[in-house]
Amino acid sequence: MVIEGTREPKVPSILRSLLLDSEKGILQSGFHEGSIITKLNDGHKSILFSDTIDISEDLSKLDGLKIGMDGNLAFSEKGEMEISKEEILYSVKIDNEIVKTFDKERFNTSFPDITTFLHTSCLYHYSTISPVNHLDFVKGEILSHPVALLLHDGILVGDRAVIDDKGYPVFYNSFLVQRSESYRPEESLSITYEPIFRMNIHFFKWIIILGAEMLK
Amino acid sequence: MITDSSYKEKFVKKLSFLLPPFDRFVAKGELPEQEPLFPSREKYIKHISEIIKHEGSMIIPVISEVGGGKTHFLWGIYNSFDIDAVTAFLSFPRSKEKILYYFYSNFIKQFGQSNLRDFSQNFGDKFGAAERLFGFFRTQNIERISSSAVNQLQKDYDKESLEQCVNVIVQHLMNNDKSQIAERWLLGQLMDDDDLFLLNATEDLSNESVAKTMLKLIIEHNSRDVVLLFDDLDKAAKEFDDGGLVNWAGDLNEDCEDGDACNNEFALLEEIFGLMEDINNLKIIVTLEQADSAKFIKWLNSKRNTSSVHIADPLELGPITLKDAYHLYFSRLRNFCLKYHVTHPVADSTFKLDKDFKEFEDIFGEDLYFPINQEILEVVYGIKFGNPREILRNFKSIFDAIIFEEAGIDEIQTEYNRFLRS
Repeated sequence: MVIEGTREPKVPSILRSLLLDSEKGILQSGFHEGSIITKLNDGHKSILFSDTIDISEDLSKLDGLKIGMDGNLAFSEKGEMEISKEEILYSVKIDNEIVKTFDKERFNTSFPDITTFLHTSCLYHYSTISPVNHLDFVKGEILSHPVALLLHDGILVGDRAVIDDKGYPVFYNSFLVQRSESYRPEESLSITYEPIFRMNIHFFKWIIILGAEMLK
Repeated sequence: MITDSSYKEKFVKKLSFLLPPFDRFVAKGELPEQEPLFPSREKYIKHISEIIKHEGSMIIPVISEVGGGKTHFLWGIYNSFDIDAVTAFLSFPRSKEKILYYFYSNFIKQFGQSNLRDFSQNFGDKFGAAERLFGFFRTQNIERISSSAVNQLQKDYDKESLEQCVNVIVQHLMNNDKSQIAERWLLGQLMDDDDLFLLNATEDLSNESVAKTMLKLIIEHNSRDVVLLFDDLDKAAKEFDDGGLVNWAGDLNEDCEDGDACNNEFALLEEIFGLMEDINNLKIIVTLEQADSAKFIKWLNSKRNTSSVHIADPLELGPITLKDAYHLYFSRLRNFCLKYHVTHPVADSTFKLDKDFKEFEDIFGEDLYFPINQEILEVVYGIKFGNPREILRNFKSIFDAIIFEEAGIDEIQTEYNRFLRS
């Protein structure tokens, strides 16, 4: 039997990672460093990657990369950004172990014929107004740096992706951020490393291939 | 335990038509040797594993008489888990022409693709390829990594060759489209103009300066030390063509002072020494025959105070012990039995090579030594006191007599002179 007060309260790891969640009312003010993904509250349009974020009650500052859809065109832009709390849906710091694994596996196997796009391009966009579907065109090709936004606010970032014979995207060496079913607000998001991740295309909002020009 | 009483008969029968256990009595540099090291020589491996931790280039001479197990010892180093380094068993070049390309191409064959990829990764990471952009992505800026590496390293290298080598290494790591061609270049393959154009290089590794730079880069920037193993320096030194005048008189030693060698006999050693002085942290182990070793050791000692290369004290491999001879006999016999599914006490699951053999003598008696006995084994050891090659040859002679002359133990014991090489 554990006597009350003798054991330190267990801090869920996600609480250390979840920096801001406007839906669940979580905000960890301060300067955070690491591998940070921020999902903007702009109607499934864009996400941000950065290595730092300075969060305060009214404004968050970061220097990073913004990827998303503008109509039926993919865009990516880098630079310093200032975003209000209301504009951010959530901001998470990916566990360092996951990033290390992601980094290590990147060069673990040799794929000589990976297709790297110079410019950021849209592969798939689920939209009633401006849909895009180029999956058939790249079927079987190994594509470098895929980033996807899932329905229900999930984000999938892979090192490589292949469209399989059924037309489903398969992400290799990837990590997934998604809403969890936990009733606890601090566990509202789960972050997992996925060596291979295959999902029906109907669960994707958009898939973008990040251009190499952004990484120079 | 052995339940088949007719196993001895079957054993001798199988010996007559299968490759007998002692037919191979010479270790070769070209053929990988898997036979375990003699127990009494394991201490030398531990000694080497310690001294190679010394910073800077180093040469370790290993001396032994003919048939004393020098090559076998080198293979022992090559196979040892105690040596925390990448080891490569190389043969000496026969001439000075393209000597650096010769060293590089031989070395890289043994270094292998996997080590090469690790090297490219480590090298790139050192010069900025490990940086994570926006917290997640690796940089794709090949030019920046290359120029950072060249700027930091150029004071110790030939700049033109360095630029080419660094460019190819970084492409090997970061440029998926050209990674395969870059790997072929790094593996020392001769490239045509189209391939070189794709890599933005003008030379392949057949260029001596590029080969030397690449060898230097790998040895100095690999995550683990590199130890090169060379067998029979004395023989290679005699055969080495240094590009000078040919002495048609034949035996060069006739004109030389006693215990001294003619100058061109050191040409190979000078080439190797030059390489060790240019490349920091290159470790070399060479073997020398006892009879010829004095002049080479003298030459090496003369370099002690003038060269940056550390010259380790020679390691003299003495005769093997009687326990080693037992080990040798049992290990060969056991391998033969296990390979051909032959019943014998040494192939029994209870028999262990690393235990005291006396223990098994209590269980199996003299059958343990079958088809010879303990006395013959000890006579074979003593007749050419502790020379492993001679011991193996004498085992072979006795086994041949048992197979082809149907000689019995008594007959062998009464006529050792007839069966053994003295």
